[in-house]
Amino acid sequence: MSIKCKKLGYIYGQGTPFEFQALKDVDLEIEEGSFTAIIGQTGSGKSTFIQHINALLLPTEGEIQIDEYTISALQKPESLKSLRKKSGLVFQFPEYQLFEETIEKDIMFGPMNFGVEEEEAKTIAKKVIEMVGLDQSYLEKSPFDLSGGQKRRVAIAGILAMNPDILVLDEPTAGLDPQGTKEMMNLFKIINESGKTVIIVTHDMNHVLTYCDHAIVMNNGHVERKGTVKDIFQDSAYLNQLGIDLPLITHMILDLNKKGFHIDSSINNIDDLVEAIGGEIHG
Amino acid sequence: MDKMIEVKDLCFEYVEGSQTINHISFDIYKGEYVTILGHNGSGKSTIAKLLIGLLEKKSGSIRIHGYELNLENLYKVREQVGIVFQNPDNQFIGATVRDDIAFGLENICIPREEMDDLINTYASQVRMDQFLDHEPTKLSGGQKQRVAIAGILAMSPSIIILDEATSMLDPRGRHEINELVRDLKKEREMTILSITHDIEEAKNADKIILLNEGQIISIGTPQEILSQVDVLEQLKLDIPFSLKVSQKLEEKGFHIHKTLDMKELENQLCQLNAKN
Amino acid sequence: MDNMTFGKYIPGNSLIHRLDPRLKIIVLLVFLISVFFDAGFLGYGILGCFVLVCALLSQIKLSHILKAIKPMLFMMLFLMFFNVLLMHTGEVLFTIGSIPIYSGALLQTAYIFIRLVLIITLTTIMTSTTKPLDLTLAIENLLGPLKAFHFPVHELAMMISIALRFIPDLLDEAKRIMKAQASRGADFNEGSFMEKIRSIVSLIIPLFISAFQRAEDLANAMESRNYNPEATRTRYKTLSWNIIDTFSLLVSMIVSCGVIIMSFVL
Repeated sequence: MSIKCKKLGYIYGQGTPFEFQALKDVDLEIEEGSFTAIIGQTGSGKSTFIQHINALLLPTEGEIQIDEYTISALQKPESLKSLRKKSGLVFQFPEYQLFEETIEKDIMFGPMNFGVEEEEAKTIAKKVIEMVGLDQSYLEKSPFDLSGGQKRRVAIAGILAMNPDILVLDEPTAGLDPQGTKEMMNLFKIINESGKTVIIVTHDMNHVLTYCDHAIVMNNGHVERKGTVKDIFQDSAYLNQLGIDLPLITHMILDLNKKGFHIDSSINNIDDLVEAIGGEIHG
Repeated sequence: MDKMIEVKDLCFEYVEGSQTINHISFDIYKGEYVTILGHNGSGKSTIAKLLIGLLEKKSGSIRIHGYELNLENLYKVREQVGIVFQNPDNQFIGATVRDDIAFGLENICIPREEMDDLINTYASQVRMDQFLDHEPTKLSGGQKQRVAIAGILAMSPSIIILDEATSMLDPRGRHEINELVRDLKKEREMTILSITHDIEEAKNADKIILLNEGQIISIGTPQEILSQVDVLEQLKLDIPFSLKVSQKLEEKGFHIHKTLDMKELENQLCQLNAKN
Repeated sequence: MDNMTFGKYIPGNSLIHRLDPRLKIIVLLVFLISVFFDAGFLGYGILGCFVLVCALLSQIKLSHILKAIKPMLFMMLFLMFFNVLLMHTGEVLFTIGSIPIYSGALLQTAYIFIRLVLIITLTTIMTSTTKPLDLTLAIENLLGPLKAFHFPVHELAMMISIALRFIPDLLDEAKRIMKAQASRGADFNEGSFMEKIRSIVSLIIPLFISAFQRAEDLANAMESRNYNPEATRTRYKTLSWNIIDTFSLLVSMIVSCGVIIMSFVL
């Protein structure tokens, strides 16, 4: 399930006085099974880009290739449904897409749209509700009686129920408290480890460092950098200029190294950091 | 010192029988920057709504700048307090930045001739003077929250409440708002009550009120409150990064003085490194 | 939905942009009345010239106006079709199959077409050159005398301006929810009738919930900024009537009333 873009471009409101080029000349490849972060300021084209991954937006220039599907500006695909089943997109604040009377029905909405039988969809609902950290007793409840964080979990369960090969998430932890955030990110890690490609748009560089392996930096509708997380965070001057904060761990390592330490700047967890600091001071 | 907010034995329930706010009392003095810290659902935003009379208390008392909050004093109290809510879109009332700032001025009957001056002054204070004729759809979340602050400042309240005002913003927007709030405290000696679950934001306060399940767990300085690692963990809150690192180093037997400040931690480490 | 430009304000600084919105409303109303008086092709010629002059002065692109007319074309053709078939005045010009076509029918049909085009064009010019909020203010101002009869003019104007303020937001929201449901396989275009109904339900319910949430937030924000609809408020935006407005009013009155008088005389 790799994703390839060639000269991908998108213009909003083409031919109106409000025309706006949101993406331009995007060339990139996202490998199957990777956990890729898309970073960049608000308005850099991140959300526009991810909507191409399940053909909610169709390119106005260039092409995007998702597995055997090729969508180009000239050649619009016949049916988008089978592509949408393969790549599940979770929008920002997905709790606003809940609409059924019970959580079970809401989770079944996706699979049944893709032709899954009712009984099977029920089984799926039982499975995914537990994946997102809620027990089966929730299935009979109304989604509107839940807290904000729980609603978010149910909405994500609704996407997981379609069993997509690619999971695309637009700022999935926005507005959650620290505990909820941690649980959510761990869930995505587990999904990634089960072999799925996970693509996440986020502003939290600490998450990128801890959870992701690849990163794509967008600016003004262009992809400016792409590579491993380790490589992307090496150039702190560049990220600062884009208004992107370094992860706290990397920040501290770079600061210390300026003052005479020699710590490996690719460290991505506190225990290793403490170990490394300890080693230097003793050594 | 003047007491700006005086809360005594306040109780509130949304549903009969389940206390959302359970017998809380606290005082906030003039010029103080106080943070109410708690996870989502701890009741912290309910307190904000009670303080400006958007919700009606069940029992207890609230005094704002000497006025008892009741039906009679409602508008007087609201003139004293400006509040910035969480969602930047849903509190932008005007069609443009200029109109939005004017909205509050119209409500408190500022004469037309004085409005333009006030609008310009406060728009430039929040660095939005270049955007006066912009529509909200063309502004970022951080810019909208800055406009909300300008709109409040123009009404010259004595207290500003920030009800999770940065939680829907990107890091840049969050940074801008936090900086602006710090400036307001320094330059204008505003009394500020900020409601948040963001530890890094809480570090800036003079005083933290730690809230859980509608009850106050403790009140103290950021150093006092945020050092209680066990309590924070129990309340599902984050632990400041520098504290986590210094604690782990301490556990490993290093002589590290626990700190909330990253720069200070780095300095300590450098001194240790130099010794060896 | 991206291409919806009909009625959208287009920023500019033309003469028409600068006119008082009250004037524009009055002119439009009087024009609407005069269009329905039959003063023959000469009358429509005069009104057409008037609209043309307005269009030129407004500096709005012709393509924008045509875009506004396009969606109405189908309705117009439909009307014209029935008119031609069903009206039996004047002489029989020719027959299609066994259906006779009368000269009067063609004439009437042409009139209807011209009327609709004129109305849509002038309305588009007005909405494209006037900020929605200014229109609201003008309506509030023009309805002012009704306050004496306890008609809630201010509340009405506030409601309209808030509705206008949130229409773009709600459209965005609708688009977002549609996309979110589409990525769950909801099909708004294809699929059976029942599937379409379900898709629409999956849009409408979240949209309502979100609109209520917004309304509550907005009410809180307004109240906390000391808004009290019953209290007196000062006003920031004021309308100013200039000499050019008086002049424009005179010109358009002469044109419209002229056409109305012509229709009686001719």
